[in-house]
Amino acid sequence: MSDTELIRRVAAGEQGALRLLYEEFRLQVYNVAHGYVQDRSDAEEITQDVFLEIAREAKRFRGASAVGTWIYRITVNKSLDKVRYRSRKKRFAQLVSLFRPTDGSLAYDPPDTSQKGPGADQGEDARLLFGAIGRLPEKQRSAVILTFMEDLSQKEAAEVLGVSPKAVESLLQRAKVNLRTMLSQEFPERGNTRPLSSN
Amino acid sequence: MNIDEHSLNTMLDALRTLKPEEPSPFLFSRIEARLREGGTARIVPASGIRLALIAFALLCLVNALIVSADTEVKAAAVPISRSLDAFPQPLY
Repeated sequence: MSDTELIRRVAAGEQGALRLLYEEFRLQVYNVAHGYVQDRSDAEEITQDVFLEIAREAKRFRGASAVGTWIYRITVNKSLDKVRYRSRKKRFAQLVSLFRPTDGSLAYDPPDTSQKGPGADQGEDARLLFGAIGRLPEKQRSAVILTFMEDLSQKEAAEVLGVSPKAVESLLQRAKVNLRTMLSQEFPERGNTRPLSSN
Repeated sequence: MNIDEHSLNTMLDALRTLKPEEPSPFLFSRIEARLREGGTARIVPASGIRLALIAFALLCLVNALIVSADTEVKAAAVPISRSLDAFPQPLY
């Protein structure tokens, strides 16, 4: 069954169609979300939001883009919403802490980025790389996650992000410059950098 | 130290080969549960809407009656207070 047919069945409320779609796209959705938030429970929450949105908006899918592109787009938007929500929460907690004597408790509970996720087995280098990717501006981060972590072509990433392939190329170039600067500060004592192991 | 372009590209290329992580096996059950919650909350029977409109209209009517009764009482209270000379004018 094609993905478009599957979406049509989801829109018709057919039992089991959403589960089939979930089985097909859950890894992409979850791993893209994890690339943004670096936190297992937040990534699962985003995955839930994405499939709820798919179930509700399937009727409006007109097939202007591939189903995969549409799902990636929803995932990127939901992930960015989560990242923005977290940074708003952090700013608010910092503001509140200015007017409140510290009692040792944290008003904002930062996500535990040491949790298991893609790349967690690759150790310190991967942790630093993911940390640096997380500090990139939104569009550069999206371009890196889609092209390197999801292995999409620049054309596919451009469709997801709603920009031209040239713009993705430029975003990647700027992202690489920023990553080099950030990682050079993170690895001051090393003579060389080890590549991430691939298994 | 500076990280050269080749090292960075090697690190980024290695991201492509990372094994994707599996979400919780219970995640789809949670999605289904949230869909059911969302579904029931959105369905409102037409009779419920009519009942709410009638209740709101009755509330408006009762409110208007109370306001008009209150105005009448106040209007009646002025001549009584004057007749009782409750607030005498100063003599100067």
